[in-house]
Amino acid sequence: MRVLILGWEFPPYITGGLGVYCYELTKQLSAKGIDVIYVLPKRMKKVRSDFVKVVEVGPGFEFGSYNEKEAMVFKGSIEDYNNLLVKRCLHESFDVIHAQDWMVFDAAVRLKKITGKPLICHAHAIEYMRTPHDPWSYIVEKEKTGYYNADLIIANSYYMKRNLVEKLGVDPRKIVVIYNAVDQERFEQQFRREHGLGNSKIVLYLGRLFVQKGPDYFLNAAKKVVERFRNVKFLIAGTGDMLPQLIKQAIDLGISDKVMFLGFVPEEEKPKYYAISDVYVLPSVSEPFGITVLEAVAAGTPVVISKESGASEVVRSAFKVDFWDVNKMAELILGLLMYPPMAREMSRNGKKEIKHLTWDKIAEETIKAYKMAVYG
Amino acid sequence: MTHVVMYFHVHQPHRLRQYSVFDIGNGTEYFDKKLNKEIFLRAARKCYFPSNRLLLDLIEKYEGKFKVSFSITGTWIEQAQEFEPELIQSFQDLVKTGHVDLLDETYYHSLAYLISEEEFKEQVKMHRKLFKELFNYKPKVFRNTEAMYSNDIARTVKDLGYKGIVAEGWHSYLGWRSPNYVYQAKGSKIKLFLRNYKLSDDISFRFSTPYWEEFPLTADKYAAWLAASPGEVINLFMDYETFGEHQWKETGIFDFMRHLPEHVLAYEHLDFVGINELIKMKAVDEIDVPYYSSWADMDRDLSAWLGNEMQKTAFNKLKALESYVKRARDIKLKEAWRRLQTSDHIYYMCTKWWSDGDIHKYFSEHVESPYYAFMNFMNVLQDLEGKLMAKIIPRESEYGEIPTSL
Repeated sequence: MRVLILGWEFPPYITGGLGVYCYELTKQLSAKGIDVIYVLPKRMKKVRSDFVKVVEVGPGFEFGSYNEKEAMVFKGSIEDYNNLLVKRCLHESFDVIHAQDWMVFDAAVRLKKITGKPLICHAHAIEYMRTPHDPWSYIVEKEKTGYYNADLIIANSYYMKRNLVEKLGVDPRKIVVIYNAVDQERFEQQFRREHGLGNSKIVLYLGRLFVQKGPDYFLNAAKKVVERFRNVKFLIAGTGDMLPQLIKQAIDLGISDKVMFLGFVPEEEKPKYYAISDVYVLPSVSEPFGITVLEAVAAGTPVVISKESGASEVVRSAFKVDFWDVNKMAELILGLLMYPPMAREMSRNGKKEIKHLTWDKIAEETIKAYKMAVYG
Repeated sequence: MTHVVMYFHVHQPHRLRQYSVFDIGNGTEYFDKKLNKEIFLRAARKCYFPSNRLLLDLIEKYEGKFKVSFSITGTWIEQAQEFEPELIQSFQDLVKTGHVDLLDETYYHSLAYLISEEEFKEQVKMHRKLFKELFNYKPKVFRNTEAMYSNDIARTVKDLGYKGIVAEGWHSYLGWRSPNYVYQAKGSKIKLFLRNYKLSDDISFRFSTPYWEEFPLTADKYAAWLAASPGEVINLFMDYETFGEHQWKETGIFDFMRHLPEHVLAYEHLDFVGINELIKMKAVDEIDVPYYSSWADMDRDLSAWLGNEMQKTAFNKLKALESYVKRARDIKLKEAWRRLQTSDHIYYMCTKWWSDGDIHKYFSEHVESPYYAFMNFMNVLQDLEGKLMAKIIPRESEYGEIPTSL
């Protein structure tokens, strides 16, 4: 079987998850004996692959971003690309067309009509989900064209499937759900490369940068860690009004080369950051619960958490410390960095411990509380 | 006749102080004298003094019909000498009655057998010397740390001149056989005395458990159980701290013990003997233990000490320091290394909370968590390694030797 995949990007050119997805998918497909022709817009960087036939189309595109100012330019590039795509692909023979997201749907539908080959449209994201209050009608129209004409639709989650049905009116019978695999190792390698982390150990702070979250204590502890352990980087994921102050603090402490501010991390990206970290620190001054602690533990990352958090009552396989005791905090972080067997032991036990903390159980307990209130 | 052997194990470790990574290389003390003193004095008040008093009374009262046996670790004696020397006198008084048998063990209550045979033998000899000096007593029976046992251990102990050795009466090697007989170790002519764990644990663990169906346990009921037990010997082996420390005075443990001899001796076929008496008895069969067993936890193996990755890491590091200790030739550092071998330190790192949690927790009340215990221990080992290297490098470089790294 020969599949024509109409894509958008491919390593080394990657702007988001789509490129990673296409790389991993085509690699696995060819390993399983499927012929793949992967088509994408030609850009500045040359794309190469030894396991898949890559076809680059066009003179060298620069799409820019699709905000209002550049909308016309962006639209023009998309149209050009789609036209060239159709022309180029008519030289290829294939059994099925697999179109990755709205940018190529126009060409995909035309190719289907010309060749009579079945079309699969892949929904990675839709405009209504990206900008629910102000979707760009141009994109919505492209999406509708693709999904209405597709013989089969692959949605990357049931949530996506529901959105396709509810927001775009797509026939649910032709949607199948196939989840994306998170290739953690790849993500980690890429992240390390992009941020110049080498083989540094990583200590993570993830949360808003507000006083009650204690990010300043985190930096003070970082300073003490660095004095004993050089090969480490401290990631601060999140934004908040303390950001400028924290940047200044890192400079004043002389550890600005050891601290990286990542900015806001979207919900679905969080697990990746826990997983690449060697230690997760929650230095909160006051934290009613601290769900991030459970998320980190679930990801297998050992945690150093403030005693002033609800989560510290729940997780036993964790280091607990008073938020103001930065010496102790540093000592515990250091221990986890210096003694990997301890980190692994804590990770294993932590995962086991929180298994019982499912939403299902929490609902059951809540129902029990309701019943107690109602029936006494 | 069924002989009842009551053997008590007396031990306190030198607990470590909180030793942070920032203490490494700063000359900070390893052991927490204040904490050790506090715990020792508490145990002396709650257990050692009243229990010794009680046993002495019973021995005198029954004029040789009541006998007990003891093993006492070197680390306990060291602390007694420092914090409460009267206790040494108190044990000497007991031994002088002639109705108390003593057992040898490793001086440091250590896992030395797993470090090297040489280290093991040295620690046994240290203990032997200690007992000779303090009690003018030469034990004939040996108890390895936490009743750690195997065919090989039995052979080594036999080579050291002992006639008997203690082990757990565990079904995995007993099979259908009863622990209530004297056995012989496979592969060496040494008698094997197996703990009746059920009857021992009835006192040491279950005595004050309110949800136990036999609660409360009275001396006459317990004596009736002993009387109804088939076999030639009932080995009741337990930590001495059972009396007053694990089971508080308020549970009635001392009253139980006070009345036990009269109820046991009321049965004509029961008597008390010291553990040395068992050496003369005929072994009914041979016991084959080709792997390590112990009396700890539900598993009766080494998993209480070497069950998780932290414990294995810590123990391997400790073991690896042996050659450094030899080369450094520093008495103080050697003593520190040996004190670190005390099995309690590695026991504190155990993460088998879910089944055996309560017992582990009891013994490690001063340790915040197994992770702290590990980190503390490793920090100390790092410091010790540095100190050993500092001794080795100047000396050996004179001879042109270059120390290999771990």
